[in-house]
Amino acid sequence: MSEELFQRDADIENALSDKAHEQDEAKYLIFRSSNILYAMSTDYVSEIFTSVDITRVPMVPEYIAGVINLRGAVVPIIDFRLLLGRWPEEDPCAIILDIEGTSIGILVDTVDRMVDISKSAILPVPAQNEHPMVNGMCTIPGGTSTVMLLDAPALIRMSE
Amino acid sequence: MGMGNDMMEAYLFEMHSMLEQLDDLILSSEQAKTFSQEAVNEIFRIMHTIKGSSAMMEFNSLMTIAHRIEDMFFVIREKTMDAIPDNMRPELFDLIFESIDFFRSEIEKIENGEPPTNDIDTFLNKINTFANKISGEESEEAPAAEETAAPEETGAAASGELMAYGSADFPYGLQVFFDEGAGMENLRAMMLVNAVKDFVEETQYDFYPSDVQLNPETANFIVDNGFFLRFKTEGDRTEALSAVRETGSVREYQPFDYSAAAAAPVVEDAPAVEKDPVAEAAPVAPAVTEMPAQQSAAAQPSAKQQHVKESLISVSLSKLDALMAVVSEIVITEAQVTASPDLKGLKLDNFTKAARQLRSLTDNLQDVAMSLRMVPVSGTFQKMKRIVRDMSKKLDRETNLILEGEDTEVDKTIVDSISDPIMHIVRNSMDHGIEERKDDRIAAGKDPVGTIVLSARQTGSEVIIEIVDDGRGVDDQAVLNKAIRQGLATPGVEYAHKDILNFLLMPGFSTNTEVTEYSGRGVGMDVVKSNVENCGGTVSITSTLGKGMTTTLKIPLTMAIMDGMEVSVGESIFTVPISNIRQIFKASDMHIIQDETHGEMIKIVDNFYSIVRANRFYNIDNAAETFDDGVLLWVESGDNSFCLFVDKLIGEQQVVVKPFPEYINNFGIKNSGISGCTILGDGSISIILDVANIYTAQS
Repeated sequence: MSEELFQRDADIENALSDKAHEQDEAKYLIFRSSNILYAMSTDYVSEIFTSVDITRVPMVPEYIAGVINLRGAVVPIIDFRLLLGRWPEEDPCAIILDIEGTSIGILVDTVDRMVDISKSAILPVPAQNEHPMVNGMCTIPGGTSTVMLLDAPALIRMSE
Repeated sequence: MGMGNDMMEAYLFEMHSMLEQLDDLILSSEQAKTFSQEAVNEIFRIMHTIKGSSAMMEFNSLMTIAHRIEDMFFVIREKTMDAIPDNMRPELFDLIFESIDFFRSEIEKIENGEPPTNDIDTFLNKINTFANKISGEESEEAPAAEETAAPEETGAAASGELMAYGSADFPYGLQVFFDEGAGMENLRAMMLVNAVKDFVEETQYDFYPSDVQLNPETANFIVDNGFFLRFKTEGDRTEALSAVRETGSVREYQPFDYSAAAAAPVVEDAPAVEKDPVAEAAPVAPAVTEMPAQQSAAAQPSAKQQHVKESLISVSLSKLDALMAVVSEIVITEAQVTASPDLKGLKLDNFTKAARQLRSLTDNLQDVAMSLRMVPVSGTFQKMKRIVRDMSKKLDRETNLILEGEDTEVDKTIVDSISDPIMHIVRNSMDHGIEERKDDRIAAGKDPVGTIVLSARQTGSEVIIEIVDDGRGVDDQAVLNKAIRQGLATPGVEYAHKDILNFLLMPGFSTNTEVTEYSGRGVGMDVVKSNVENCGGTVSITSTLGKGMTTTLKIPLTMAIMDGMEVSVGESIFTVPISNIRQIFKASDMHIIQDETHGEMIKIVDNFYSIVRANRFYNIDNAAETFDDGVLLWVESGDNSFCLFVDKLIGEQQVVVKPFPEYINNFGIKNSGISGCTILGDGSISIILDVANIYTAQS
């Protein structure tokens, strides 16, 4: 028994050191919405659809696009563009997120690519430009474009 | 012990269902204040099965108790209930209930992996004492019986007199002898009994020895004395003769009439004869315990053969969920295949035919899958019968429990979560509701016997469970005083009747000053409330002082099947519960009456009903604006009735009610009459409307 515990401790230590090593870099999904690039941790992303059949729900704010049937589960879809106050111009892509067990989808203009972003590269947003959904910004490694980091759990908090 | 888990599971399942059956049986018998002969037979059979399978599983405590009760019922069966005086009957009922509880607690121990108790002597003594009392009654009537019992033990029936094996209930006897040296006479006898079944109804005859199937010892008896079939009517006996003749290995048979025999003075020990079957019970039963191995082996097939619920299996809920998910996928994929854009413009007769068949099969599949998770609330409701019964006795408040809507089906998880709250409320009604003294009830002009009505019904996406008692009702002043004492209410403030009732649901409130066995253990209705709220439901109480109290639980169906009418409004599709629809009709603009605030009404039969336009109510574009272009649904929920104007009817469909995700519900759409949604066959989502809430929101 004690041996087992010891083994587990060792495992945890390994995991921690691995994490420390990786902690600096994390995978992010880059997407475009109203000509602004956003990045979101891939930990939250479960699926991406290029077209979805959305059922509108009456009596909810306009930025709630409706609900979709995801393999028998009813998942709410937020139009991210409307949420940020922009009028959608293109046919959307839907990114389905799993945020701490809650499924929710967002509509964006296009999904760009995945990148590794190092933690040290993330900078705070200037106070004047702060947005409740954005918790940092950074320049894409090797590129010139700048992305806003989306705080996914804030999407859920919004309705509470 | 090398016992398979499957076997254990089968055993536990069997025990549970048998105990439920027993509970039912004895509750109804208690009401009738007697056991019918059928009930006696049934109890005898159940005890016998419990004894057999418990012996096989080596649970000796269960086996011993079941055995004793079986013996007792053997006596009752032979003598009928008439032999038990009225004043002894309550004790008998209590004894059987106690034994059910004993079996239950033992089963619970086994389920939890604890060893069954060995300390059954007290209970055993109790049963023995009672059993002796029954037999004692008998010995007064016919002292000869006990004396004959002793010699009987040596040779089952030394006398060999036919009449000894007759029966007053089944006077037309038939003595059958099998071929000499045929062997296994008891099994042959059983086969003969089964063969007779084809000619004579089972209730119309019996046989002796009655335990041929289980007790190999009876073979010797049959060799010596023959096997006795006994019929209620002479006609049946004649019928049965053909069965007897057809059965191989029957050497000879001889009809005899019980009544005629009894009248005949030829028989030497006639006085003893009548009671003989009872005396027989004693020697036969010990033989059974002596050979537990053989007996259990024999008991097992009988259990399987007779058990009604054997075709049920238990499946874990997660498997059902997985099945449901796959089925929904199949339905959607099917629609994608058959309606594929690639097929446009092609003439595919065979494909279309096959696709149509596939469609109906997937529909079937979906129906079946949906129904799997649904269970009626009757199981939970039935348990309350026992609680009311026990409490009426203990508290000496005679009370009837009336069950309504027992077959309302709800999701399995919901059934489990409402069981405790219902039990608590029923106990509360018994404890605090129903008056302590019958005089009080009579003085109040009520039936001296209290009534509790437990009902379930489904409306839209909710199950409504009501517990109504006709007791004292809630004394507002007493509740308020208590609330003030508990610091829940502020002295001097005027509280409305409704607010006062709400105190009952607050934590730490218990109106009874004394803690009783059944309720008021410091926890109270607040626990009920939190339990029900945990599964998304609500609790409300209404009460009139002196008239009684009604507790209403409204529980949403996480997954329930409902008949819905699909309607379209603009591009949206809604489901209106069929149960809410009174009538569907077309109206023309000229039938519409306007009021001064631009509200619209229509006259149906002799009443005016207001009209709610779904498109305006929900701000939906591109929907029908003139009444000529749409249809009116006359809907009703409770006392609220109005007309809902929609574009088109799509059709009737059975749907699975799903709640909206919390994220969406947080916007308060329930208050606008949107109670949930459902996934239609083609994978699209339809919104389920709650007629009552539309009415409230509109007015």
